Amino acid sequence: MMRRWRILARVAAAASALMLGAPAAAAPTDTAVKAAFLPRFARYVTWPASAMPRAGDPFVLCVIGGDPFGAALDDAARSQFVDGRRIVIRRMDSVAGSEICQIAFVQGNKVQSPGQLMTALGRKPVLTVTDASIGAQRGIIHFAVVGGRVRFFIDQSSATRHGLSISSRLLALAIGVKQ
Amino acid sequence: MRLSLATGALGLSLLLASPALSADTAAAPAPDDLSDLSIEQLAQIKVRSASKREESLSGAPTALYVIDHDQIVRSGAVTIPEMLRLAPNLQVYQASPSNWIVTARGLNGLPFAQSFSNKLLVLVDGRTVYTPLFSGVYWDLPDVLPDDVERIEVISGPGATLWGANAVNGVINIITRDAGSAPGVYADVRGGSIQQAAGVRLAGLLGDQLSYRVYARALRQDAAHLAGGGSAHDDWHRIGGGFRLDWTPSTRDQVTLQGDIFGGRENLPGDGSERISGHNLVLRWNRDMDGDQHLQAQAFYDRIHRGETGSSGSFHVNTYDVDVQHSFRLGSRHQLVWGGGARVASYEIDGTPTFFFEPDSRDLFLANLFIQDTVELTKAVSITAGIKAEHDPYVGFSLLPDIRLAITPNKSTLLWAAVSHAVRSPTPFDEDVREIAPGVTLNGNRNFRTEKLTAYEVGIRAQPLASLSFSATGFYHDYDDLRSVELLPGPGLNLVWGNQLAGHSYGLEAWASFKPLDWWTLSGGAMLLKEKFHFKEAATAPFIGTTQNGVDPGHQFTLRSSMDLGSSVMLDLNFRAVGKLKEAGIPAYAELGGRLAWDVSDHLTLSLSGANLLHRRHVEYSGGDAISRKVLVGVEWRP
Repeated sequence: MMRRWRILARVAAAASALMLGAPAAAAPTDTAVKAAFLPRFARYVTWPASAMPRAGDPFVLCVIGGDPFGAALDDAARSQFVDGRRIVIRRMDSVAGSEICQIAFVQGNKVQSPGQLMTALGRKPVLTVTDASIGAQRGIIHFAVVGGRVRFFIDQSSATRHGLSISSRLLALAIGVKQ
Repeated sequence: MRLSLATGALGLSLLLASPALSADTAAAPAPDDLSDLSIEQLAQIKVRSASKREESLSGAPTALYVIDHDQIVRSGAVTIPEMLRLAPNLQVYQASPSNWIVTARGLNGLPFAQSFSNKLLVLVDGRTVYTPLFSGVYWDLPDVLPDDVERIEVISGPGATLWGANAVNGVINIITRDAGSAPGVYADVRGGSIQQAAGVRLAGLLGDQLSYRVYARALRQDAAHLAGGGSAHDDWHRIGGGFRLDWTPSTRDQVTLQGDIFGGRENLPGDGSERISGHNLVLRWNRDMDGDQHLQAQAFYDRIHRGETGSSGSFHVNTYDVDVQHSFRLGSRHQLVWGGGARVASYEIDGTPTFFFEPDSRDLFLANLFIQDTVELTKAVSITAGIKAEHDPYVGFSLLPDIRLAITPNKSTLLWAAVSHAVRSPTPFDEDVREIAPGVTLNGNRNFRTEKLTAYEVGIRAQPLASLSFSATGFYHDYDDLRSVELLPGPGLNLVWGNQLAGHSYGLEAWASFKPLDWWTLSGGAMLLKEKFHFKEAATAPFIGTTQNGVDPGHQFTLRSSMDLGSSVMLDLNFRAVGKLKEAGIPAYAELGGRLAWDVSDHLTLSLSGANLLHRRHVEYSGGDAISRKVLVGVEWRP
């Protein structure tokens, strides 16, 4: 039995080595790609002037509630600029203090559900982004992994209510736009 | 032998990994490299899904294991019980092609003593799928497309306060994906020796508030072999389909309507066969309200039917259920959840002269009311206390209290302890059954009591490194009034159900996940179980033995390797070793399953998967078939 198994193993090994063919890149995690998306959204969204940081101040990307990204988001933000401003990451447990955020990735934690956080954010001019394909509180943008790729849906009516306008380039990239 | 096979499997992984992958890792883009890509390029990058487990790490103070979507797909599992093999805190036995036994923390039943595993609560998208006639699960009734499953939450130990009826030894909560999460057409065909499955799904958006999914699936399986050799003539097939609609009329509301319909036929050893069929409809409404409040209301209807050909008995059960749950914060320290539910299970049993129920039909009415409060004592310490009052038609009210302590000394560690009480309420099988065999009868008992459990648990969950997470739970279960076979006074062998068994079990459940390399995840699980039951003073038939509620293995170990061989090839191996079922005469065994898959393009995935590869046949359960090796070729197509 064991002998036979070993032979089987060799055949399997040979077959997969063939299938591998040209070495391809190991895929990054969906979380890493989402982290890369977040600071990039800034370039394709226009905030009302009152909601932008003062001249010289950095652009603020907040992670409210749970933080799935860790250092990956800080790394992703480092190379991105919005109108010459740096992007800084702020992490907060609740919406208290969220008035400084231009973009907020919102995820529930054990204290508050994403819905509760989102409700608390109200209609502030904040681009809310979530991972929630389920639940009413999907935010203006919500990520979805479709066909093994990170894509997103855009709720344009919600963006308008929040006083934000989203560029056609970003809308074109969305898999679905809610008008 | 077991050990050498295990190293053989590991050796295979290493052999496969070494030549091709050293080059791959060098070429792999580090997350930093993503920063050079345009937003359009980002949208085209193939990704791996990170484990949901990491996110729920700091969550509930309970022995929770989450089987995520990727694990299910990558394991090659075709049916729900096969998916459940991925949970290290469950014990899963295949007794025939269509008959599976699933338990947590033991008590897997003993068919010759007419005892069947009956202490789990199993839900599919909020709909209970255990059968109220005997509290056990017919695992051939629920079915899902593996690709539709978002995750399966497995709780070992009591979950009665929040989850309710029958959550004595564990809860299995199967959650399918949101309807619009995978738009387009998807087809999944797998076939090979002994099993074939074909499924198709169509999903998409209807307007901007409504997403839909429809699916259909056919499944068939060859007959297994009798333990002593020869065909068991128990091949079976089923065909089913269903739909799910998710409607978000506002940003605060989500309404889900879903349903399934299925039918199938199973040959039985000998000449007969059994037909199964059913359908269900679930309506669920979630609403987020001001002031951190959340409301969920759900109603479902479910019908199942089983019937043997000829006049060999049949039954159907219609279940109607409503549940409401409301959570809110009170002050800065209290998080409350309260709710209630009511259920009517209306059944009709068409018995045979030797196996029937008196009465043969009833409307069982169950109702419950519960409240739970989580108090944050300090930033690192919280206590959750809850109680549920449950009403069942046989014994009236039962109180199910539960108290849990959670300590989070740092962001990546959770220490917890819990004391909880749960019961299995009587069923028609306990109260009303009549079985007549030559020289012996078995009768239900109108004075049957609830089977009671008080459980004591301590656990730790931690993620000391980004690449390493683990969980360990120690438990002590104190059981009372467990069901026993008793002897009626007088001549002849007239047996009756009683509650004359008590005792305890204790053990350890542990699992860990380690990601030594970006493309390789290793996970292991261990379950150790010790049981000690004794007859109470009024016992009249100790000769049946104290193991009549189950002959459980003393240990179960699992080891899983999950590899991304480049961006388009995945290799997964699942090894399990299960201890002997001593009193049932089932020897210990070790088995291996796995899947090798190749994403040929975005539209096409080819796979080779298998289960029980190490032996031609092996027996897993008392009185069960010899289960054969299975090898399947699969094609998944997304045009």
